[in-house]
Amino acid sequence: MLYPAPIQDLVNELAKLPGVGPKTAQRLAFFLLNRPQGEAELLASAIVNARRRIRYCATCFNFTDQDPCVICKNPNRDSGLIMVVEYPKDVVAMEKTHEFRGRYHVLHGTISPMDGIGPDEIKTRELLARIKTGTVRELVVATGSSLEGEATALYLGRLIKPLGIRITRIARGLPMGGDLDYTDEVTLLKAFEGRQEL
Amino acid sequence: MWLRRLRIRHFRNIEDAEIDLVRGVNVWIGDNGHGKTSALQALHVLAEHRYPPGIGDMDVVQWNAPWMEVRAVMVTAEDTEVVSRYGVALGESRRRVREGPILPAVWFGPADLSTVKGGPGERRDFLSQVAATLYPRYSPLLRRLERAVMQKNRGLREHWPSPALDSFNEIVATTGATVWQLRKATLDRLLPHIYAIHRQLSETSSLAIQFQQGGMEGDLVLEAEEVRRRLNARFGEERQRMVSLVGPHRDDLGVELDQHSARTYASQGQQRTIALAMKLAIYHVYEEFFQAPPLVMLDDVFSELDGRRRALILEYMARHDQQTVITDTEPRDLGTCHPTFYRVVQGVFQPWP
Repeated sequence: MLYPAPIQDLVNELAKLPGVGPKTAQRLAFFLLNRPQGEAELLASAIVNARRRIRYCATCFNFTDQDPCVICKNPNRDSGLIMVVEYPKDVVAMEKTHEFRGRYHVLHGTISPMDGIGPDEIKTRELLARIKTGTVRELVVATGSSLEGEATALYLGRLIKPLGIRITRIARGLPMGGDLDYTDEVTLLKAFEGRQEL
Repeated sequence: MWLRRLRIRHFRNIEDAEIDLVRGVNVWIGDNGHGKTSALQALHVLAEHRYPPGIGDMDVVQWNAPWMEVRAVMVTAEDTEVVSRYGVALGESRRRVREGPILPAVWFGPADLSTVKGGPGERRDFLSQVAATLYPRYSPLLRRLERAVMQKNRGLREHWPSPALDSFNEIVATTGATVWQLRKATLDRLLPHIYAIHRQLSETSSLAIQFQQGGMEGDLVLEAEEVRRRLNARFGEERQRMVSLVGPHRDDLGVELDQHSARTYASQGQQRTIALAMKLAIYHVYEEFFQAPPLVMLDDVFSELDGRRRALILEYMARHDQQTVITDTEPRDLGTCHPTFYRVVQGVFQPWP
């Protein structure tokens, strides 16, 4: 049996979300229908609001509701030290350390021929333009360790090294508090290769 | 190490089976299609925490079940008992349970002949299977390499400009060099055994096996910097032909019998002897490497072997410190071995007689 059109529309829209299949979409739809009217409206307006008010920061391309964003605007943050990350969630992860005092550049993806994403589809030109303004001393490439994250890091290396600024890659190895015997072999080998003098 | 008390649930056509395994020789008798090979595959997954070549998660979970699990009690070299377990739950996110140490396993099956007779892919699988057991980083590295080659090929087909494509080429070079080193090291361990066993089976013909690096000519190149140089040298040609021409994805083993390609010129019997020598060599390499005999699995192979080759395999099985599992359609004379029998009907295992 088919659902009435409004339910079917809701299910269809929910099923477009990442990680949500048709079964989960159905479950979410019925959950929403069973909640008080006001709650559903709160969710709807939160979605609309976020879409309407959030845009890219013109400097770092992180999501923001003010341009430039709070990090780019903050005079206490080092504008000469830029960390390049794949997604806004990576900025949030790094910010949780409260230690990194530089600024960010969000690429919004990684280079992947199979997904039709080239350097121009992520914010690399914008990064280059930013470097050419002359204040950047060091670029820390913090893309992930996936194949595509690694390829993007290599690409940035080639692109930016000739410009004469320092470019570094974050290290890979053991998680803190992690046991050796729970660590996969590749990570262990990387940790061994990256060993440091005591 | 050996396994006892095997339990298989929702694996292929087996709903729930409990099989008592003994150290020594175990024989599972049954008609085709009743679950012998499935149970043997389940045992392989449990032992090596890895599927035998050619099957994956989607093939093994019983059609009406959301998960499968194989477990057994593993008796270690120190005679202590630990639970060994491998399970997969399908669904929106796939979950996997692996528990217990890895027990190296050698699988003999009717498809072994394709190592000699089949295409380069089958010989790469042969090497990869051993390399993955000897070197735990091999499988993840190979997966990364294969993905890098796929990305590079897509870029080549769509005429991507150089800098973006170069990074994938770079990764093919660095991971490729390591994969080549590990494959070469694996073959070096196998070769002396392959030759020795082959001589034992065939006094008259001489066998030569050579590692052929995909897209490379002349001497082996294993050093990363040189691999990169050679890859870059053919990048232009790759661009023209819009496909990756150099890399481990094009490796092969040159198998020659009396200076002629065994694939084309050897008789079926000669090919079978070579394939058997290659398989038995794995047994020796595992035994040397792990300092203990591996688990041996023989899937329906006796019907195709002549007396001499059968006798050779039986010689291995007669060793009492090793565990062997055989599937067969009928009980047959296994010489000095004293096997324990199980009969398999419709996925149900019963001690027999």
